[in-house]
Amino acid sequence: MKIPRCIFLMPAMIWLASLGLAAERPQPSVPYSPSAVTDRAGNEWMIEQNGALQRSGTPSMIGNCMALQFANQQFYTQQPLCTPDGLEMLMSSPQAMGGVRITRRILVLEREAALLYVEELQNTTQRNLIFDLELRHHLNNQAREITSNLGRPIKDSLEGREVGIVALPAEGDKEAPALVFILRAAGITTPQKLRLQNKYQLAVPISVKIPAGETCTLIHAVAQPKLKEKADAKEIARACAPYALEKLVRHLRRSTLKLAVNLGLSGDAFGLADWFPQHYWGLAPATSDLLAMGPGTLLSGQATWQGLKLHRSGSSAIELEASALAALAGPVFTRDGSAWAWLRDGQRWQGQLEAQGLRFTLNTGTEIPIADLDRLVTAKPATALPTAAGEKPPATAAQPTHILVELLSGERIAIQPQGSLGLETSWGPLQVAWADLVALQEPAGPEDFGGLLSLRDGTRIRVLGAGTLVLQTLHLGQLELPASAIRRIVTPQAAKLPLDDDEPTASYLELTGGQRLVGRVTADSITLHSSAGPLRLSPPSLRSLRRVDETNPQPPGGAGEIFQAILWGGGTAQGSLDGTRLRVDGTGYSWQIAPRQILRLVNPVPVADPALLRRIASLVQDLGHPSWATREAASAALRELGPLAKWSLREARQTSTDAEIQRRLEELLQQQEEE
Amino acid sequence: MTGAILAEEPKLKDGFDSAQMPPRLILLDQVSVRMKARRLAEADQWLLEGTSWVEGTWRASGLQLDGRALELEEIAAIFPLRADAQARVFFQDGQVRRGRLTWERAEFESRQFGLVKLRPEAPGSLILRARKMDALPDPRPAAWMMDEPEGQVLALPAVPADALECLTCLGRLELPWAQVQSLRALPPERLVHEVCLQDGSRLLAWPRLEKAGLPAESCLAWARSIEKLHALLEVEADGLEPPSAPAVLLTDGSLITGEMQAESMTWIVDGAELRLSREALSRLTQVPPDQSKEVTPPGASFTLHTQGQELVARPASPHLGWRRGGQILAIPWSRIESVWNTETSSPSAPSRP
Repeated sequence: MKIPRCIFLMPAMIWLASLGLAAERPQPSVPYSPSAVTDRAGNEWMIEQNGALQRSGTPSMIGNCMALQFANQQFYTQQPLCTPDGLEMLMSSPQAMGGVRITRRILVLEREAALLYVEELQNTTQRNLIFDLELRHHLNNQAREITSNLGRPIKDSLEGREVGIVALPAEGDKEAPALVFILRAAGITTPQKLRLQNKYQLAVPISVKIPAGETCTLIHAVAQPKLKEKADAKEIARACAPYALEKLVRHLRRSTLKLAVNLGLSGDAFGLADWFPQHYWGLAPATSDLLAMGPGTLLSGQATWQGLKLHRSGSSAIELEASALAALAGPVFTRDGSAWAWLRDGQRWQGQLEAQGLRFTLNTGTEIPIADLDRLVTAKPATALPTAAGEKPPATAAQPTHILVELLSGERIAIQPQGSLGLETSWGPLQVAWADLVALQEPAGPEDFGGLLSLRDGTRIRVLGAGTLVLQTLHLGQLELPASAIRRIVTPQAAKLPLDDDEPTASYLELTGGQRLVGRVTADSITLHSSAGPLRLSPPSLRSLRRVDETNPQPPGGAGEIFQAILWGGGTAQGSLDGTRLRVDGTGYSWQIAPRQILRLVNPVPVADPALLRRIASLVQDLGHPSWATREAASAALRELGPLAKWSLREARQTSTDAEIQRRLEELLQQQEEE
Repeated sequence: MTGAILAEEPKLKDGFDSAQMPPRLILLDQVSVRMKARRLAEADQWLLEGTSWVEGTWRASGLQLDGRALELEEIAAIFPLRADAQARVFFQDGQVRRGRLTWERAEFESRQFGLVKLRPEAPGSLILRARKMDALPDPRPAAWMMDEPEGQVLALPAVPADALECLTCLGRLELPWAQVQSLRALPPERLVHEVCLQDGSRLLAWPRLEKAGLPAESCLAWARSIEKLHALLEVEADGLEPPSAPAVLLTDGSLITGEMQAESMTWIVDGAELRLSREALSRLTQVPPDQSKEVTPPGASFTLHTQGQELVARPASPHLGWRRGGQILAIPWSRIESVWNTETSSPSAPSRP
């Protein structure tokens, strides 16, 4: 049989995914010796054996950066490895230091023009550890300014939603790009201490709690964007936006992300912490009610009232119940005459406050009438105990109990789902059953267009609202509003969804814009056009189809995007789809997807083809053939079919009574497990 | 067209001199450069895989692209494609089409190889000699568009009559095609088109092109001239300069020219209401919310630039009423990054390709 030139049979081992990195990346397996790599923006990166960056040939602010230090020792490694393409490096400490074994993985993200560092910290002891490490950066020249990624000049810490540090080149250093160190995801808002010295050196001390025997990861990145000479805060923020860790880590597996201590992902993929915060307008609930009275005055005690109503525009007056109220902000705080009520169930309403007999009794017994309200935060609810009947206590308000809709005004409203939600996608309209909805998240930055809609089956789609929406609310009656006025939605499902949902068990397409369609490609065949001619492949025969020219995308009007197919039956093929759109059928849609939007197609489970099943059954019978040569040939053929034959082989092992067949089946399945 | 055609020497016919370059076939020139060639006035050029460009004369008869007869004079270049013996044909009027190219007879005569007969399934790459009338289509197309795949460039005889439906962060907008100057797909990761309008507005949107009846499945770019089409593909999208006319800049990067609808607006400044006339405001810029401590109530605050003064205030109304042509847009304040209310001294309009 003649094998087309474009198909190369490859040992499956080579294509085993790296431990922590996205599937289908080759494993670092060849010795690494430091050499400069150049990203798409033309920046050179000289990566040392220990992962530190040194100055290279191109203008740069790098002196000695990304040096990892702990317990006054510099991280070192004996034999770093890299992938054959040189785009991923693996550096392991030869022994545990302070009970922690460190592995540095560095990914050269050519397309994003950044380096992504994954520091794996494995606690080798039987006790919980607090491990202190430090990232040190020496600049090539004194920086003109060191700011946060949001453009605020930094003295000694990152605050709030700041996620990184920017070193701006000195005025005499016009050729050098800026240097950006991204330290965490935006969801983490605790201050990050920094040590700056003469705008020339900076150090980032990090403390990581590592439970006994477990591994944590610290993920960070460095990039060299070119900035205007006198870039203002907005321009700096805009230049840093593409390097948001949330975007760069899409190259990593969810299992790695789950271990990360600086992504804020643990248990909260949909930003529930923002819906159910630890602080209400700067005040953390305590065991007593808290009353803020202007700057510097915060009283503990108990608030009481005879009547508390919120007159919300477009709704009738709402009576606020003490048990439901988490916090209240009045005109002294809002400065615009309005008030905000934040409920324990996550709702947040704005209106005019009508308070009767609102008073605050200090813990010392003094009673204060409240005429003009600043902020009032009610005491933490007492922890409910199981009832005598063994019933579970009601859920505390750390997760949504209803579907919550956030409007552009900032109000959050609980709704009773009725019918479906109509939205627009880049391919056409989409009707989503409320029951299928997990969350709608707002764009992470100006680079994203449209909110990200997450569905229960793992689908993620960019959407916009258009037209009018009628919502039946739980407390405010019927609301009619433009669909574009919705900023975010969160459902109870968001708290239940497992975090490792990024590898759906059904077929899916990974698309640009952080999108993923869980659905079936319905074409009879997909044609890959290679230099040796067209190759028609049936969609189920593909284990994956991955865009391989991402780092060197085609110019408009150039040749089509290049994809690599990995086949279930073994072998790979590479070529262009030549602009052929793929029709994808999913829940509630059937869309034609252009190749330029496709990053990956994955069929996680081989689809059984009747003809193939018959052939496998015949080969299994041949495993017990009287002729040794036939038995050997059948084993070889089944081995070549690999995972495609796995389920049939398992089934045959259950039913076959022939000892030779059983032995050979065991051998084949064992080999598959090892691979 | 079935008769034999000899590619005439345009130099003799039109008095065209190679030193005097003809109007450029921009996209062809771009591709030629990538293939290390440039069009010549006095010779056709032919390239087979593994060789270098050969100068000579190409002759052909019975040319057809997907069954449609072609005149030899229509063609500026032919490049083979990988797919099923298809070719990408650059036309003399600036169009680029792909399809299955066939001919009854074709040959290339050169000093090096003499007379070589060419087969449609392996035509090699051909760049025909430049002509004086290159890129001067008659009648002049109303618009041009680049389509996927392989960058077909089509000359459109008319601009669609109806409105272009666009989905934006403000909802669905209907834009008369007469106002549309250009549109293009931004890089795939942005997942959005940029629509530029006659009045200087630049909207980021999902245009519903399928409803406009454009002869393409996937429009990469549409413009009223081939030069503009080319510029759209060359220039990056970012880098807005302050506009020279009143305009509102949205947080997604869209820029909409027009004017404030209301003569005056109420602002809340430190608890007090302040009514400012439209003329008193030169610029508004949204203050980034201090999300670090969540100590501000929800809602956008703006720095108001008045004559010589700046103050921070919150709008009393939920929307900015913005008049664009005959249309009033209600733009939620939280979608607004800044508003330029007066003409600036900046000589440049928002930089648009």
